[in-house]
Amino acid sequence: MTSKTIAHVLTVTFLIVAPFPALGCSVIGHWIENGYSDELIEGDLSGIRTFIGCGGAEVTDTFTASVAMGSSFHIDGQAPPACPGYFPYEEDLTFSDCNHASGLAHNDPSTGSGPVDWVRTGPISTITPLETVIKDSARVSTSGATSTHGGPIGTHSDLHILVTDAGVSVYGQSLSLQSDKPAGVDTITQPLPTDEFGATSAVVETQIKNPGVSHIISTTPDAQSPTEASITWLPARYEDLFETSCYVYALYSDYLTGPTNSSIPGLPGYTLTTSFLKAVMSYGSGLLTDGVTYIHYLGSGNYGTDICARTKIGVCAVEGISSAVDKTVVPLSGNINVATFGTRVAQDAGSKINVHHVDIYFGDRVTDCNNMGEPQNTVYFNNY
Amino acid sequence: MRSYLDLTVVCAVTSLLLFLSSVHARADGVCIGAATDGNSAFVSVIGADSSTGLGMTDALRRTLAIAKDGSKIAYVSSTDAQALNIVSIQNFATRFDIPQSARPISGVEWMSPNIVRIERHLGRDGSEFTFYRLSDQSGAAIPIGETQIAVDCVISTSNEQIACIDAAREVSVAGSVIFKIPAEAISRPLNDASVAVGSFAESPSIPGVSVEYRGVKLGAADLVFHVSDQEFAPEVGLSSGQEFEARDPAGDVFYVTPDFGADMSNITLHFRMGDADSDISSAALAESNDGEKITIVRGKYAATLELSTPLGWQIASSGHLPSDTKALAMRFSSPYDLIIKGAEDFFRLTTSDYKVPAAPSTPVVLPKMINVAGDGSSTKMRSMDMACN
Repeated sequence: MTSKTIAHVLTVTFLIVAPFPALGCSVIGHWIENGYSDELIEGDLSGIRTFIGCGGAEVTDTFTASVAMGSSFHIDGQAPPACPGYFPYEEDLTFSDCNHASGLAHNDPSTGSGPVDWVRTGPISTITPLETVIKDSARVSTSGATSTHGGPIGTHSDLHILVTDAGVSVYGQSLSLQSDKPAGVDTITQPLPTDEFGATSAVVETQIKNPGVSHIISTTPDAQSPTEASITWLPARYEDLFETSCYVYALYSDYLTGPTNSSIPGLPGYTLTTSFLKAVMSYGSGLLTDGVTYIHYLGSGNYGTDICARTKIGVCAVEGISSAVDKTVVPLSGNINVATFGTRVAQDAGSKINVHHVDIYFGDRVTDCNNMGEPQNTVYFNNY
Repeated sequence: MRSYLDLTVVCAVTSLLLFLSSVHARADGVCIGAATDGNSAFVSVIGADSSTGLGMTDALRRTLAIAKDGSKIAYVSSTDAQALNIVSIQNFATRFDIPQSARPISGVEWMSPNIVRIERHLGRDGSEFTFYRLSDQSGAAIPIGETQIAVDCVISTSNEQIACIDAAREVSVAGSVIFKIPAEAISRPLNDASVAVGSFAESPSIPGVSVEYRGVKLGAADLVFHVSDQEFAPEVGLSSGQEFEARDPAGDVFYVTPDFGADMSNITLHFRMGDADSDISSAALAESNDGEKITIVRGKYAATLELSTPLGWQIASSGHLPSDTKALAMRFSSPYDLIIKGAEDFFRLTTSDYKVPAAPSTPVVLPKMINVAGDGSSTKMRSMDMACN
């Protein structure tokens, strides 16, 4: 608003023009006109309004009409008797959302007209989503899981909520939060009434693959949220650190001595040392001395030949990409980010990889693997 | 072995001595818990209001284990993954240099008061396991037997035989396969589940061939195998004998299939606890000292079986734990009292709490064992372990 130079509203008339299609907003609360904080409206717009101005004097008047949220409305003011020199004043406003109304102000002929912007200052709920995490207890659902792709993992976001009214904390305010997602996509644990600091919290969770972004608002008429809280579900950080180890494939040249086995299930015609077979069973794969033939452990005591070190999901293990996880914690084929290592794909699994443990494939870099240690790392689940 | 006396450790151990001396003076049923926040180790009588911290010279790795008699803690520092450090509550800190291996130590577990098992991670389905006898007198860590590659290994109570289970579900003792868990009996591959093998000992009647009571194999998602008091033989397998069936309050079926052999000694227990989504990683098993009672917790379901002649193993009780209980290990602290190790807490559970058919009551949930700053701070503990006398 540019041309309004005096504050002078005494009588305000709200004219309902059109129904508001959005959720049930309410005008109950505090509103200020941008740039004119002296025009503070308290309480229900249909009731009492406080006008501060006229050289510091406070003038209170009663609105002449009630208003339904979602309406456009018209303010028709007259100069207060106590403020000589004030002129008649009109505003035509439309709610753009539950907390904003804007339009034009029509002042006296000498100052013309200009834009006007009203902002609700309270009671309002400010909803701040905290980091999206995967709780320690979260497990991959079998729903939608295949032999190569895991089901969804549950992600979780705490919402920090503050309810204020003109900057003052509101105690005991109950809230009802709503997501823009269809039912069943995310679940909101509704907040308790606010504490003495106007604070409370809520939890939003989802166990849907790629749910995108959830937008959460307060639908409580007298504590609406000026802006929606946006929860980006992925990437999500695993709350627990992951024990991080590495694995390689066995080299037959390291297992040439000791007893041999010439009746290896799945490998007719092969005679290999039992120590190599044990190593292959542990690592998953091993390379013969010809440098091209890999022996792969197929499970249940059976072996086979292969052209690469093969992962549990059936693709060739690739250094810099492959990792082994507990598939009840990290969905198979999922893309993760392991601190200090970078992005990996959950392609392998096994009995020794349990809960929050990630095994990084090092190819044939045995020495590097041995020297890696087993640090604990932060892991993010990036996508499916 | 090198011994060192770090001032921090000395102070901590002194206070710990005073703290735990009263523990040892108590009656049976006391369990001591140990945990680390990654920097220090903390010990406490489970259920006590406070814990005592052991200051360490190094940041701890996640590996930490308390001896079965509660007398000492073994840990591996984050700076030297080839050395095993022992803090004795009755003596002082010692360091055992385990013979070098290419791979770092990834796990340590006490088998008996002076024998530890060192694990070195290899790959997705196997680790290296080596057993050591720790001699305080000579200061040496003496290996027992050969290093084994397996999913899990234990040593016999006589410390002479090593039993292992591998990813092919074969159980071997002294290098010979003595039992293979039948694949057809398992709805999911065994190598998708955690495996725990109980303690083994030689049979006095057939030395070198058999084992005594208590071989426990925790199998796939919905099966638990228990082989007891038998001569291990290749023909040991699933039984098709009489079934006992019970239904818990939630409608989940547990059933037991005892194999009535000549001595009614070989049984296989089937537990179907919860649905397919149940958290198998939380499966835990505790066996009473007399070997006549087994309690299994999987997810939030718990069941206790008792050996009752002539009927064999029967479900004595079953029911639910608190929904947030995540059982990782259990110990009997008395014939009917269990201490359950959760992810961050210990719980005490009395089996009468979940008798069938009565609705389960809520077990006593102990306060968090660890409160580092004494102010309820939420420092996360890792590598929790416990010992019960």
